[in-house]
Amino acid sequence: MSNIKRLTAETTGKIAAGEIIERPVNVVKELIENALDASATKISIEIADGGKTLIKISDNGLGIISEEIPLAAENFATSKISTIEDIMKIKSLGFRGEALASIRSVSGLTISSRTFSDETGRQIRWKENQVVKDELIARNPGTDVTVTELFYNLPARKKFLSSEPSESRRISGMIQSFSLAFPEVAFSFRSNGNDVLNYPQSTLEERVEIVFGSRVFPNLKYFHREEGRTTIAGYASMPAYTRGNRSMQHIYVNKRAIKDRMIGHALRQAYSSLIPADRFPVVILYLDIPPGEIDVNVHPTKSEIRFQNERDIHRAITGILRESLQGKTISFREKVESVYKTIFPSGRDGKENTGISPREFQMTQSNKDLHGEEISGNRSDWLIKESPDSLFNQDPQSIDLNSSGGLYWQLHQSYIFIQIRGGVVIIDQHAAHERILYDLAKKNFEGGKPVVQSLLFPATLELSHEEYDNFERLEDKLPSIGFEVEPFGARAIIVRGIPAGVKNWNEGKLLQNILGEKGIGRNSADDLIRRFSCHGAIKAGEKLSVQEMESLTDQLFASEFPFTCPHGRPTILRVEMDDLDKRFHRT
Amino acid sequence: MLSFPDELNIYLPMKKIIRGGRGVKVVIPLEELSKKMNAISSVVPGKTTMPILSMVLLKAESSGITFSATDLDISVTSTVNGKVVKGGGISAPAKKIAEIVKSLSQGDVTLSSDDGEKLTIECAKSKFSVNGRSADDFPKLPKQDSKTEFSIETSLLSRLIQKTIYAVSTDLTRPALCGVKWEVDKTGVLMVSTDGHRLAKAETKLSLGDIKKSEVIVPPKALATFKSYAEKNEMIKVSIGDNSISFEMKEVSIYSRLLEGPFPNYQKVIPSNNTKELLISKEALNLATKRVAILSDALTHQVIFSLGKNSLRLHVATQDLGEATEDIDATYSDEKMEIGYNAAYVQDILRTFDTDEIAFKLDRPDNAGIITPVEQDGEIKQLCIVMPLRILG
Repeated sequence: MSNIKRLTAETTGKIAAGEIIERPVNVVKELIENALDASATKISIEIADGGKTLIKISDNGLGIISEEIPLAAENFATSKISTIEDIMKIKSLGFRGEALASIRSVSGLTISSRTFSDETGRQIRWKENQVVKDELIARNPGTDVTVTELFYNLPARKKFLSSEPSESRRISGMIQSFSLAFPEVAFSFRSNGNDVLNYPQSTLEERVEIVFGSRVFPNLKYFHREEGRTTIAGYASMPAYTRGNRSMQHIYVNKRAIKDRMIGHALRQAYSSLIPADRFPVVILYLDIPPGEIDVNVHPTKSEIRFQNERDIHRAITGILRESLQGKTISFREKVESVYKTIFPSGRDGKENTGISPREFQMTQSNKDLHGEEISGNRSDWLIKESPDSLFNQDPQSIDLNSSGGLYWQLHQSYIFIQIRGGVVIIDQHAAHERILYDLAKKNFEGGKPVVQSLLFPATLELSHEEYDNFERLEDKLPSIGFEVEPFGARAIIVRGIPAGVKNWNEGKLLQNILGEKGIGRNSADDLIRRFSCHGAIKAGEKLSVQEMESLTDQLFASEFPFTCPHGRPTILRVEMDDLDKRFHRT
Repeated sequence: MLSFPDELNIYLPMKKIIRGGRGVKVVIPLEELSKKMNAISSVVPGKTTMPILSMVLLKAESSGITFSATDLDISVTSTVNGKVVKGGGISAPAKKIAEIVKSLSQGDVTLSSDDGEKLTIECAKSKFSVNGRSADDFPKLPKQDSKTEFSIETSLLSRLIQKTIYAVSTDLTRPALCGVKWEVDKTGVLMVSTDGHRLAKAETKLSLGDIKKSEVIVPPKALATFKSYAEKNEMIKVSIGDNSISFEMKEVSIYSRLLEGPFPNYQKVIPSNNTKELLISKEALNLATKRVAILSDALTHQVIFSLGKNSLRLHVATQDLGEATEDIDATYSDEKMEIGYNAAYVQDILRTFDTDEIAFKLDRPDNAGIITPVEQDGEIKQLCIVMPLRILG
């Protein structure tokens, strides 16, 4: 099975040769394209000195078959097309078969790769176009390409490079540009050992938000239209939000980032009279056009394109944007999710919680948990702040959970979905169980009587100095949450009973983890209770039976504070049928 | 191409696969085919990253027709009654074949393949052609390293399993507890399981001849699979190796990987001085437990057993929920005592007894309680241990 074929002389003649590599960012672009064409879902880019001394791109893609690695770096060798006809139906990003060869001729190149079916990988290093090392190595499937000493043999070009921060910025911009076209691929970028970008695999919406940030994103509107075999979609900023330059305009044709005068003109026309002439909108535009109707082989960097039906496309872009800006289409940010209110009592101290009924809570829009840590921000779109009908406005009991058939469904062994009248409730199983254990431990701690499950095989735990110090401090408190434990020789303890209903006892690891928390219980017992509920709760990824889900839900709603876990994170989200209907344009 | 780990060879014993000779043809009565396809499909994993595992291996040899399926932990080979027209083999998608077979109405079914990669199913006027894979692609079923072999009746083995399988742990951090420990020597078979809160032990005395003593931990899935195939009573052969166990029935062979030990020293935790004895009807206790448990705490399931002169009172009190009480006649003459148990554990245990009269042997409320039948039956000696749920403070 051979993937890489040498192009015929006729074909190579038809492909215009060109200079591809002008600066480090060109290397990065070519190598990311290769990784994407190899179906990678995770691409890591690492550079040093703005890419001048090191560029390393690692992916988890299909890899290169061992025997073909030497050929991969040859001129006009590619696995992506074999004759000129294929260019007409090109779907992959790269195809010219000159990238690696060009890079090799101006740098030290190392390719290390392994396919899923090969047992070992192979690594080849070239210097001055000669193989200097060729060995079998152990590695995960995927490909690493390392480029060192770029332009070592072209001192003139080397002199022309910009400063290190400037080259690094160009690369970072290039990665952002790719990341907007491939939200399903995780990208990470490190420069001189520091993390610069880190985008997990996500949906388009999430990716746009993480790239543009929570300041810009709320000003964007989603649009989408299909015209024949062409699809136009993307995000455009509302006229009230503009920028001083075009740096926030990204245009993709079939996932390839391009620059095009015609499209630039269409954008200007769509916003004309809506924004000042010297301002520019934020636009992310995705065009999906049958490959036969465009020509990408205009320029070696493939950033220019020719459209067969230029006028139609111009008209379509202007039309959809105009419509969208006038508010005829539905905003992407129409909430699907309605509930998120971080609920705190006025005192803000967990201890004062008891005795206050949910109605007396003060609702705050704080995104901070009890430790004052900011709750991770890039998901804030889920946490709609001005929810009109928050779950909170109702008694927990008024959520009709039985609703004949009471459909419980566990998603990815982490979230419980329950059909309710008028929609669906989503429960985070870990957060919910955490809340239940917290309430139980708290009740027991404040004078309740803990129920203890005796152990058939008492567990002896050997503790570190720090853990033992913590144990000594907490020795008289542990029984009140249900641990039956006593010292057992030097720095060891023996556990004869554990709180009934606790998951994750894990032969003592639970208690050891609690005692391993730095300074636990030094300031307040609440700390101990919180740690206990966190470590003792069902984890995400644990399969639950319907009975268990039912029981968990019942217990959660028996709590006085069912909506948040002890850290202040939400336990429940609600999705309304109305919201779903809107999403599906049924209203 | 998929490659299989070498370790596979340890636990998938089978006769040698005949290579070469593409193509196969067999004729099987629909009823027989339907039954065997159904049974074998239960072994086929629902989701797998290795497509070949979603297939069933059909083989026809001079010795007969077999279906095989595996999820790499357990493999099952079932003999099928039918006529071999041409010897050979093919792997075919199990769920689809089962679905097709289920949809047929009557008659003999011809399964054939010319190239060993596409399976044709013909019955009456219906004809299906299903894409499969070469029989050679199916995980190889190599020889087992059998150390201990003995014969036993399926009914007896099933009873031993039923009396122990419920106490198996689900805590994957201690894999040894996630299986049933078997101790086999020339005097009989003993099975024991525990999840740290309760323990179940069942043993039978048998004269197994001059066999090597063997102590292994068998995964519950293997035991459940065995039970599902053990419909009629017959003598079967059990072979135990270092890493695998196999059950050879008349029509079905099951092979399973074993779990790694060590299993805890369970003998040490079986109390020897539990002198207080409560005799009670299993049925009465079971029903009463079920009733009062309705109001038990959803997290702890705690039920309090109050022992008095010739009576047992079950009591449940849950804050915010309510209380329940039930008195049961019993035989008891020792001092009054209150012990808490997890109602679900008690019910699990009661389900495994075959006779109605059972005995609780107790010491103090914070010690392990032993539950046994009042009279052990001639075949199996059974014992359960349950740890109390206590209220501290």
